[in-house]
Amino acid sequence: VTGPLVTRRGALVGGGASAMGAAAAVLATRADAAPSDDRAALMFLLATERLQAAFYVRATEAGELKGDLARFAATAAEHEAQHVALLERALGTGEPVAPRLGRGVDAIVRDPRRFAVAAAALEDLAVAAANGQAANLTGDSLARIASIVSVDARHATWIRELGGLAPQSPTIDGPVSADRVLAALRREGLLA
Amino acid sequence: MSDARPTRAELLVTAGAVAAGLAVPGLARAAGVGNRDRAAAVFLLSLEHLSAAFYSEAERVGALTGPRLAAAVELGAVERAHVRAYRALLGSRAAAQPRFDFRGTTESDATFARAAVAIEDLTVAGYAAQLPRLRSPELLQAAMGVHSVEARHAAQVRILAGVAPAAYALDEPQDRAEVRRALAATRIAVRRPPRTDAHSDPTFTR
Repeated sequence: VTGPLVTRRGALVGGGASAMGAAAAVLATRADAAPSDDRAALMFLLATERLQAAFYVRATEAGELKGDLARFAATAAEHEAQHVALLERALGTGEPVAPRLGRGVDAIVRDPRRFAVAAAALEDLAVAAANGQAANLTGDSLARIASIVSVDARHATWIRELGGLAPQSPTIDGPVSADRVLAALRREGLLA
Repeated sequence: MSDARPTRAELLVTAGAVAAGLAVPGLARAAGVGNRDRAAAVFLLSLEHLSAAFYSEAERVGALTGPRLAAAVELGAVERAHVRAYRALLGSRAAAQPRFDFRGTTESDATFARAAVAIEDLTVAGYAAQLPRLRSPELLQAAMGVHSVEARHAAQVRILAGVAPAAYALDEPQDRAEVRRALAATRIAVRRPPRTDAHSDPTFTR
């Protein structure tokens, strides 16, 4: 059974292992008993969706966001939960492991400005992460990610508007590798 | 991107994204794609043609104001860059820019925003359906990067139209026939038949 490999090792999905371990597990696709490229990529992207879901749940539970920001957080929490469920069903693992949010997240979700900046970074990184795994995804996995990634991109535009952040209009969203995504999430204080 | 520590600002422009210079790397490199990919690219080009023509006409007509005018200018530039990229990829197989009749939707702020929502949402759905069909890694990479950009546009024009930027948890794919039917149902755009260049005077046949 190769399924739980990333979830056991990866800090994104808890357990105290290092985040770079998750990236290494994702990237070391040629190793013995390693999951297929497709499965490893899907597991990594499940981890990023779980982190987003946990972030928005934390924000709604903290209860400090008001009005449109609160509505955004609640909507995004629901969307991310559905993304997680879709990928869990596809992977067949289904284990509800809580991701380890960065320690600073409690303060971030109590400050509207910091929440907006963090959410925009989180959504952009989810898009970049999906694009970074494009070459590893095939068929049904690609179809699932295609339906998820565009919603994350919508969230990114939405939260920038609500947060009064500079709008983002690239010609193309570039790919970012798993280890760089994890490093960036840590640097932003979103991942333990 | 050799610096291992991108700044927050860099992060916020999506690390690795090519925001500067309206180029779409990857598409040009995907020359040599197979028939199946080419058919998908021809369809995706038709979606880019539609949105590029829509924003270009809206800008040209000059009836828009404020953020809607800004959106037409900004998004139009991006869509035209996508068109150029697909045309470069497809070469002689690329269709010419079709002529569209947008039925006046480019001529007021309200109709512009609503039509833009329909066009961008359909584009997102069209990409979602084509991505899993692509075989060329370069084309897939580029098309995925464009897909999420179209979703950003969809959210932006939805905000302008006063509707939910992300109405659903998942963007459902729509295949080519579904996109065409859906577009026809909106009655936003109809393809104009090619104009003939013959200027002969009609004569009575009897």
